[in-house]
Amino acid sequence: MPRKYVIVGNGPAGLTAAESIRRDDATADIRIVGGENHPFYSRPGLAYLLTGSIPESSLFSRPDADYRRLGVTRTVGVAHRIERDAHRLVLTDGQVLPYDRLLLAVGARAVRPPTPGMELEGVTTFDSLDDTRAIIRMTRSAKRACVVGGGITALELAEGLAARGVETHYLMRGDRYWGSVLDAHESAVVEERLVEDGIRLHREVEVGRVIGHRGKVIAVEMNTAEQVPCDILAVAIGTQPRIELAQAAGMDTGKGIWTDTAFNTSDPDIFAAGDVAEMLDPKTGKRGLEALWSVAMEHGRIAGANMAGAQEHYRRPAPFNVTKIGGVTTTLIGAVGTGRSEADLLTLSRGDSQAWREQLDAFAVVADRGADHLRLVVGEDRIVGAVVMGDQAFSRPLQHIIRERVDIGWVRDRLVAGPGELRQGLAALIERTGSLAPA
Amino acid sequence: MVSAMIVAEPVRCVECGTCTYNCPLGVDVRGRVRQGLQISSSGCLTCGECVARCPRGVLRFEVSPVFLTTTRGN
Ligand SMILES: Cc1cc2nc3c(=O)[nH]c(=O)nc-3n(C[C@H](O)[C@H](O)[C@H](O)COP(=O)(O)OP(=O)(O)OC[C@H]3O[C@@H](n4cnc5c(N)ncnc54)[C@H](O)[C@@H]3O)c2cc1C
Repeated sequence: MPRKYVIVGNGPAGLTAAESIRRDDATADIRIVGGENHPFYSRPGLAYLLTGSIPESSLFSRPDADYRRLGVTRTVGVAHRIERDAHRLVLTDGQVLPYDRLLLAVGARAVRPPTPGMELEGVTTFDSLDDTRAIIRMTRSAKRACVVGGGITALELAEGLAARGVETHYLMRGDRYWGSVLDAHESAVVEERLVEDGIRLHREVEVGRVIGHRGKVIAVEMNTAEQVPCDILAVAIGTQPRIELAQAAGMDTGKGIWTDTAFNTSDPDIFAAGDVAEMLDPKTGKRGLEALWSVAMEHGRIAGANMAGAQEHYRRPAPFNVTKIGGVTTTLIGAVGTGRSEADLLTLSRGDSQAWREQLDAFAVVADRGADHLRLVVGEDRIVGAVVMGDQAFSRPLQHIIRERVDIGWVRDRLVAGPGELRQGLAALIERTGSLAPA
Repeated sequence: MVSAMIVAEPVRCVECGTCTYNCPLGVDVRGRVRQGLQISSSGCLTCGECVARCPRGVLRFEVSPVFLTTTRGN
């Protein structure tokens, strides 16, 4: 009898797991259950749909034909309950799906703060295609929007709303943008661009309550008692892994579903991967979450292989994200945190990694050239993190140098000697490493 | 003569489709990146639209082997 695999979640972790299972188990019966009534789409691409740079059709990167070719059945439905003893998954519509191996790749959802008025029409998060469609619909008649939160998602919301001609106010609890990850100069570069786009920044303010009229948001009242009238309030204060299914089934959970580096959970026949997995790092003894597309794919690849019988372990590389923040192409690699506490995020945000805020025994050196900015976080014998804004020539080699923990002993003095030496020292390091060589 | 080709680094890609959407020839750049297929063998003119517009730095120009051979005078 072919083995029955059920995957909950039609995101990058779930789909990549299905591909992996198929590679290793030709006769497997593979089913993906996804709660959204859409084919697979690029979640990070929602930001570009919101700004209007691409049409919605661009987001659908895997047509249904791909699923057929892969021999994977895609069911639209919401998983309601896991019956672990019977090895069955029950959907909200009553369907019962027996499984031999189950993967929970259910992702994370945006957190809504307990502020009064959050239930009003016009208050939105930025999680899904449905959220994005609703925001676009609202911008057709909205005059003003307020954005609260931090990280990349809040910025993408502010830029998207402004691009659609809505007067946009960005309310920050901190004194500058994303102060836990960016240094003061980097925050200033981003803020300048936001102001150029017509976005109004409010610093060190907190939302006291959301004011509504006939069920719709009409204003946000700040702790200063000042009110900003608005028709849209977009919230991006962090995400929360969807642990309910696992929790109700009595599995081990914390912030996410607990896994080891092979994506096993506390149930030997259930695996978890992607944004929902809170993995134990055997080296540090700590558990960690990530909210990155490429990480979710790698999780899925390994989890799928292990479900089909392999014994692979995830080797957590220095996480990275490259994206436009405030219109400036920016790469974040490894431990770049500033040590400041997080003002605008309650939890991990999208496109974010806890590892960025790890405080290692290291210090930062900075080199700026015009609009181009480079910050290296230099440890004892290796570079532990980097921020590359603007010119991306160093971004790819640095990704390699940091991930592979390349020894910098011989060039360290030059790297830390000052801004003038930094770029040259780095160029020498890259040449020696050979990481500029074509792949 | 083709003097450069476009190469990709799939691990940076988030499948947003900006490259494919902006390709004047309608090459499915995103699909090729994911499947590890060469973009140069798709009829690509190396106009650079996809390189310039990719918000994630997935794509870059690289001097093609054809060009290297020619300049070396072989
Ligand atoms: C606006 C935005 C911008 C982003 N920007 C970036 C970025 O710049 N860089 C980056 O690396 N990442 C970014 N991300 C994050 C990235 O998209 C996620 O890390 C990634 O999608 C996680 O993949 P996943 O498979 O774990 O979960 P998801 O992609 O969240 O997929 C989980 C799926 O499971 C479904 N599901 C949940 N519960 C159930 C249930 N009970 N039954 C059935 N189905 C269920 C959900 O509906 C969802 O479709 C961004 C995300 C958003 C929303």
